[in-house]
Amino acid sequence: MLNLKKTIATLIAAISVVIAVYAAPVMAHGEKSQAAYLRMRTLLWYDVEVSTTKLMVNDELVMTGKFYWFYDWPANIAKPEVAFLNIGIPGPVFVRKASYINGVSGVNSTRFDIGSTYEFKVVLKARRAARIHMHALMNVEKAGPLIGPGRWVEVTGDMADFSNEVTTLTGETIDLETYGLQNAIKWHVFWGVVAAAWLLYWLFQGPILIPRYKKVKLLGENADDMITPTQRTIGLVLLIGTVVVVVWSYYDTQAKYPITIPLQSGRTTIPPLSDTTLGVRAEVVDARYRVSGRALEFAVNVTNNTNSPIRLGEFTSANIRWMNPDVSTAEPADSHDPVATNGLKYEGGIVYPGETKLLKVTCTDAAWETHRLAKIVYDPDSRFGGLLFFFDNENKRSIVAIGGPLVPVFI
Amino acid sequence: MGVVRSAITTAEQQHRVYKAFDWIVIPIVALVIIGAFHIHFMLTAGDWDFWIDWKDRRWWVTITPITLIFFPAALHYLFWQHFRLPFGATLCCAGLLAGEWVSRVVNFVGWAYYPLNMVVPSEIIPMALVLDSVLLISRSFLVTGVIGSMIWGLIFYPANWAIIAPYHVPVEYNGNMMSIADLIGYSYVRTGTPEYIRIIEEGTLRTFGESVVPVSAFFTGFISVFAYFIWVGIGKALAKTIWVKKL
Repeated sequence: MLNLKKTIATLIAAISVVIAVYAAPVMAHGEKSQAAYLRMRTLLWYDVEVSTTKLMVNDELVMTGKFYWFYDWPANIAKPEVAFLNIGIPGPVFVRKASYINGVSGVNSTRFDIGSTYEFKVVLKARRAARIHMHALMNVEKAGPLIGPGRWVEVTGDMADFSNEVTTLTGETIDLETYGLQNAIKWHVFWGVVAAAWLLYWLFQGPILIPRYKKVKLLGENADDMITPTQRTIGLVLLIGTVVVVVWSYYDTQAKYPITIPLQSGRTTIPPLSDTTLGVRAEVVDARYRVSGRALEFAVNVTNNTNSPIRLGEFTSANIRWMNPDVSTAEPADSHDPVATNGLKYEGGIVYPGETKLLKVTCTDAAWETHRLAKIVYDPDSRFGGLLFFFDNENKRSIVAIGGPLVPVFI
Repeated sequence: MGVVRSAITTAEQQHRVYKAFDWIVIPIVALVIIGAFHIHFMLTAGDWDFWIDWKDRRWWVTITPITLIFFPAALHYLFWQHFRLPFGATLCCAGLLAGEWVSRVVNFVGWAYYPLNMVVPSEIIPMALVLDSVLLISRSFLVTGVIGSMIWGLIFYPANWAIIAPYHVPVEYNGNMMSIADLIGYSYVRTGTPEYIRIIEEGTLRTFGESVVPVSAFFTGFISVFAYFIWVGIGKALAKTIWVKKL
């Protein structure tokens, strides 16, 4: 006969052992788990590059790129009134030495304009050995993280060699890794010893629980008599001593650090880059997602107000790039960089200056499934979005945001 | 029907049993307090206690003493009313700090590799010692609640200033003035804790200029007084002795 309690206990023990023994490393940051419409219609990243993918502890890595705040922002996602340019890494494998948005320092959070483009640069210094998948990342208040393209980066060397020195405005050069730690531990140990002495004094009064409980009940209203005058004196000494040490430590610290400032909590405002469309306009007429073919098909009216003929070379959305190799080529940066090198085809050819033409575009790739963008047909807001890259004869780019309703084709 | 006889027949045996009871129960109580208080404090004070760049003059000073006094007040009732032991607050706070240090060293440094100086917990022992000693001297919950709890709130910031002042020294960084605490927060990347999440230096105390700490400290002391009595009441409700009449 099956013993239910034993079976449950055995199962719990077995699961615990499996979990404890097999803790697999995290290989990503959940970038595919966000809803497709969110990834396609919030922040569109492009030109994201890292200066190196292999470096030693103390070496620097620079990540650069651009991002566009999609004009047709989903109604159920908070707008970027307060946002912070961040990096998606598993703990401080790197320290951030600097970050810039359009050349302005990004130490503080900022607000961004919907429909605008910004460029960014983040300088990182390797701190510990690891092989990680790092991402550009934008945290948006009330909306959460909007994840940019990722790159595999490998840091080698010894964390013990890492240092992070800065010089304060009072002229002292310090290492942020260890600054102030010894002092903090000293105070925690001091007060910990006092607390331990106080507790042990009472705990070593003999057996304390049952005898004292019985005595309290026996004495009733006179139970306070259990406290001796000596103990009250000890209490008074403890009270006065504690307050004296606290007051003394405060004024002593004031003398040691006469110049201090409060934590800084400002916000910055950064103007966007100038118009990246360069006079090209594009408007989606019709868009369908062919489920069986894993293909986005859309018709778009393109007006070329530049002085050069243009051709469509790329469509990008949700950090995936569909390339038209006849116009522009790109290769995946690593095994997790989703680039459909031959994924974009279109009918309509060249759009000449002053011309308005209907282009029929098809973006095909397994990435629709592997990156879970095909789920957009089940999203609560089934509209798509992305960036079209037009190229003139000199490879000058006009970058135009497009979007609109998306109708699935199941059969 | 047989006669039920006690296994304890001498005073020496009784003493040994009482000591054994202490040895069994006190460690269990201490561990339960550390665990329960830790969960409570992490869910209420949380980030203000985790990070050096959250320890500001307004919110940290206000939130920490108020949320911290709940368990010490409840245990004051339990240990004083039933045992006349005046160490409820110190037991709570020392236990919490012991648990916090383990968490900071093992979790924040051992697992996530943050530097330890970024995650040093707040110093809370002096407040607990004051609360316990006022109870011992006065032998009164009323006096402890009014005077002890007010001092509890008032001394929190000065007791921590010796630890956090070095982190408030200014530094110029990429054209900005920051405190060292801000710079540590900026340098050591926290993917899920962006800069704007910090609830610091927000409020309407602008008319007090830079002297906002005393106002925050008095306010937190004032609220701590009320919180103390509420939690003494909760301690009373939960520390009732109930005899089991039938097994």
